[in-house]
Amino acid sequence: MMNRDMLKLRKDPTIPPSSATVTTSNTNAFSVSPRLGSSNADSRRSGGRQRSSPKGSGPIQSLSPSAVPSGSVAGSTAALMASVAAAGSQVSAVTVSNMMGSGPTTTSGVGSAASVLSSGSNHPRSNRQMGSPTRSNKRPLNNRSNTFKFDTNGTLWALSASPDFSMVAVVGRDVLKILSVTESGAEESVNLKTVGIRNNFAGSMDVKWGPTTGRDAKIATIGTNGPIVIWDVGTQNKIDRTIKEHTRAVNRICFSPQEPNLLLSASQDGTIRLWDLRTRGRPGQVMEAKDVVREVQFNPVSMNDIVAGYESGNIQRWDLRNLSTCEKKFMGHMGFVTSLDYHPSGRFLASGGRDRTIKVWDMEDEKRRELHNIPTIQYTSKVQWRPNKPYHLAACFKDEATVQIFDVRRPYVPIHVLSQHDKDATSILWKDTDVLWTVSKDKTFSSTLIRGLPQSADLLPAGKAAMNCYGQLAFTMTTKGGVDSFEKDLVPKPGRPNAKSVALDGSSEAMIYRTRQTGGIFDCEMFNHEAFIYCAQNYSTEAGNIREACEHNANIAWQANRYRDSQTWMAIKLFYSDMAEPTIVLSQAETSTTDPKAISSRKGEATRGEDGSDSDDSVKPHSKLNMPSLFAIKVSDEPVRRDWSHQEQIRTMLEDYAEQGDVQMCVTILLIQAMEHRHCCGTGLRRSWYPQHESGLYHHSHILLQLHETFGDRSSGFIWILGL
Amino acid sequence: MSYSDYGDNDPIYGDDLADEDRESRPRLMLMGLRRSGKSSIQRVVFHKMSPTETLFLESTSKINKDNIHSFIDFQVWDFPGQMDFFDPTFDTTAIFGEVGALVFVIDSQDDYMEALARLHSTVVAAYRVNPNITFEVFIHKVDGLSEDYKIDTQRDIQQTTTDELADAGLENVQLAFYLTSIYDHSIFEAFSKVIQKLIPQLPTLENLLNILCANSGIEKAFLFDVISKIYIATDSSPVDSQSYEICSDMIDVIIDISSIYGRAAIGAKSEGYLEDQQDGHDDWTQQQDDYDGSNGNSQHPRQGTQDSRPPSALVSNSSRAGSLNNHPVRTSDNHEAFSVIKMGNGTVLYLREVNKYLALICLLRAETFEKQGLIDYNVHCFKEAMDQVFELKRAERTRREMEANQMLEQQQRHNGMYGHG
Repeated sequence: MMNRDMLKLRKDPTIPPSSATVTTSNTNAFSVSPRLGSSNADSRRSGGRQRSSPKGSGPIQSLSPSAVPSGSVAGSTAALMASVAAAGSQVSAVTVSNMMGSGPTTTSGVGSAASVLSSGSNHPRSNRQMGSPTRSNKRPLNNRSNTFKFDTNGTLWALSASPDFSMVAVVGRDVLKILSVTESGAEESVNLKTVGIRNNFAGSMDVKWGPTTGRDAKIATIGTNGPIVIWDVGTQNKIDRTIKEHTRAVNRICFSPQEPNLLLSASQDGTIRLWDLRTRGRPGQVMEAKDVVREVQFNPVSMNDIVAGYESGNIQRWDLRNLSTCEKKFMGHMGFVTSLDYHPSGRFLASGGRDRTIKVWDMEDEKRRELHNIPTIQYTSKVQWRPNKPYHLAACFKDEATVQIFDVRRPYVPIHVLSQHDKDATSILWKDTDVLWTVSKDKTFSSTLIRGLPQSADLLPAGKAAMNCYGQLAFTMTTKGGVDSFEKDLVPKPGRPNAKSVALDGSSEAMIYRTRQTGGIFDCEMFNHEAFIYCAQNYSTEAGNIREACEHNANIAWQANRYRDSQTWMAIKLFYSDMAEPTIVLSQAETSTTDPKAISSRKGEATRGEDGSDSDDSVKPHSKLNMPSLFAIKVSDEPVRRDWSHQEQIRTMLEDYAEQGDVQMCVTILLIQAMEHRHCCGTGLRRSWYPQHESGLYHHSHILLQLHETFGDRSSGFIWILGL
Repeated sequence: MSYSDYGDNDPIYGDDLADEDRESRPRLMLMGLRRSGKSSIQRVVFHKMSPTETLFLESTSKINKDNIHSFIDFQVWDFPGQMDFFDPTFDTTAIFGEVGALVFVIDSQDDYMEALARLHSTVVAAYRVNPNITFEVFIHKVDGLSEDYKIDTQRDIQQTTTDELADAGLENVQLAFYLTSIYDHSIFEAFSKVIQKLIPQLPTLENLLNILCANSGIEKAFLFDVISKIYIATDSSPVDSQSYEICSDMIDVIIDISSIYGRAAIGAKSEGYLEDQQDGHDDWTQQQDDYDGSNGNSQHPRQGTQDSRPPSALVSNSSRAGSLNNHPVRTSDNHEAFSVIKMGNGTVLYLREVNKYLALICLLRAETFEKQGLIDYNVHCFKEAMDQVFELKRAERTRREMEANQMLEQQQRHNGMYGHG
């Protein structure tokens, strides 16, 4: 509908459709026909694209200078199609402004959503290898320190580093190892598996390195058969203590960052227990919630504050000075919480859950609304804030090999997508601002230097377009202003008027990224019922003369806003007037002086049509009337008619319409032609080219017959085509 | 009169059931406002009614007690929505006294303020009688809600309820909330979690499964109750909905295949389209028959002609199970159903019959499955461990069944005395 309105606006009311052809000179019409053929050839050569577009650049659009409205409309559609195919951002300014004026403009949504999909699935692997040329020039990949992999010969589930990051403990199904890590690589330092096997377990679900160093260094692991095992790794590698008080499996353990002897454990049995490792044999203090605890973490700033994530999706904050009830409880996710991480400021919390989101919460706020919400491709198995970058966090996902780093202000496109692993990345750990350590089910421990990696947003095309089955084209493109830069495009986060805005980096105002992409929806109408019915009721197939009928139909099509069809009718009319044309041209010199009628007839098709309609046979008397010469007689001869040069054009025209599924045009053209040929040509010609269309169009005409019986009142003509 | 539709169709375990039997048979109560979907849930989960058919269920007018005979036996009590707990004739002690779990169903597509008030009064009343009850809230019919709306609804309901309970001085009451719909797997998952809380052996089972997974390289293992497709235990890693759904669908496939190619169909071998080797699935085929029975039964209320036939398939179900239990276990160790489905994405689904009611379904990677012998052996060990855990329980059940049969005879003598208003 939108399209139609727009077209109406552009239609110049001062130029009636027929006048368009009045001004068309005959020479002009001549020059058209070869172009027509070539444009058809073009459209056939570009095959696939044309077929996919419901309204490709029509063959008639370049017919005459006065066909501007139709030309520009078809042109704009074509430009759009081109942009669909190229998926580039170069949509011509004219087209853009047209559509911005007509379609409702949407902001950002479409394109970025599309980009997320592709960035998640296709791009990441190529990201690392290709890189953007400028960046990889600056920093060749093979020369990167801190980027390496280490194979541990076993599926890995978790990692934890010593406080100085010189050692890292990696654990998995049958792995219990401590690696020493330098900038250039890692090597195995200690293998605890032999000790573990003696104590009836070979692997571990989770590991945490205590904050103590040197001789007091301790690590805690969760044995695959349940108990928490504290290892003394400072002096000798032995089991220091085994804790078996939980009645069900333990899901997560956590050391207090301030008080190195405090350990928290979160268990399936619905309790969180607090252990003081100095007091052996004393049972842990219990925080009970009757709900499976998936994750627990200390606040990095305030030592009595802990936060826990539950199977039900609740997130609870407990104060270690009051273990009887939780201090704060809110519903964080639909389904279990898988991962929690306190922001280094101690105020904000990132949480990942089964509902495939990462949410950022303000723990000091009474409102139970998240500050940021990042949709992810799978549920997050581990999330961690990036040190010294208050807005950045890294996350790995269940059943997903890539690790993604997000800026919470830009939730839909990760900053980096790291694909150093072949199988699911299971856990992550930031060594410092620029180095991320990961472990994976592909049995490797990997370190990646983040600085200098290409940003995934830069690799995404800014322009996208997609079409739905209703003929609506949604598209996005980058607005003027050059390449978008993240920092420049931050805008204040919209919120309720009086809401206090909260920024993660402590600044006064919360910001959010707003892409410079704009987009819209363009309605390329594919089927218009009203126009169809109007044309069905008013198209003439029985007028005495084909040119008159074409003229009439062109008018009807114009009135129905089918400018292209109108042009087609005009073209057909020209083809038929063309039959007499050679005589006119050749005899012009003599006739111009002798027969003024001929000149007047050349001025307009309308007059000539009237001339023709006076007699029974449309062409013969016409040519006789104008040209009582040898040529005229020749034209009216059967063999010459057989050589009529436009069969090919008519056929491509029909094929084009058939391809677009425009049954109405196909059949009406056929009927008109049939009428003409019934009048004036032998069965030989008819048979020669009808059968080629007959098979393809028979089916359509049958449908159309039914439609016409419903909508129109002149069904008699259609019975005839069935008899072809 | 819809009394007999789903009325007191259980002559065996009436109100005057022996106390000791009540004790060992956990009770699961479905409560909520009228038309919130309680009976539909019960029909879909425990009687394999197609979700679309539940539209035709008439409203329940009377407490409907349904015995579920499975790995653990429990009773599902379906309450009519309009029941008034404050009616003096309503014996709250008898109702809530021995309850294992109270499931309160809230229609999320309706205005739920009234339901919340009712939930509050129910929880207060039940908690006063029996503080050990577990309260489960099903935020039901969420299939019609958008994702955002779902979480808002749950947050709102959860907040309002816990605040109200805190105001009433019941901070310690723990409510568990679930978003459910009968049109997908969510209702089965929610019920799984509810039932798991009623299983005293759950920690042991979970631990066994953890060990099994860790030692066999299995990614996820479920112990399924085959009839209801509820999982009664899983390892401690988080359950994502896709793994649950695929395992639950696998049960359907296996049941269907075995009912076609099973031994019951003369001489037909099951090596067919799937890599599906099955032996000794006569038990399962019988369970399939059982489905048909209950499906047929579900149509009775609509036809309205079968009211005079008192024992519905529920009874036949229980009596059949009873009779089976009296038989010696027919499946021996080397005669049990198992099935392997290899999927295109490199995942293998491995199903193994554990006993008459239970099947172990494991999800693992194809490369791990190369060591199938190891996995078979580990599963065998797992089964033995389970047998040990449940030996005591099983012996006790057999004894109870016999007692029940004796009581049935007594009951028949006093026929007509059961039922209550």
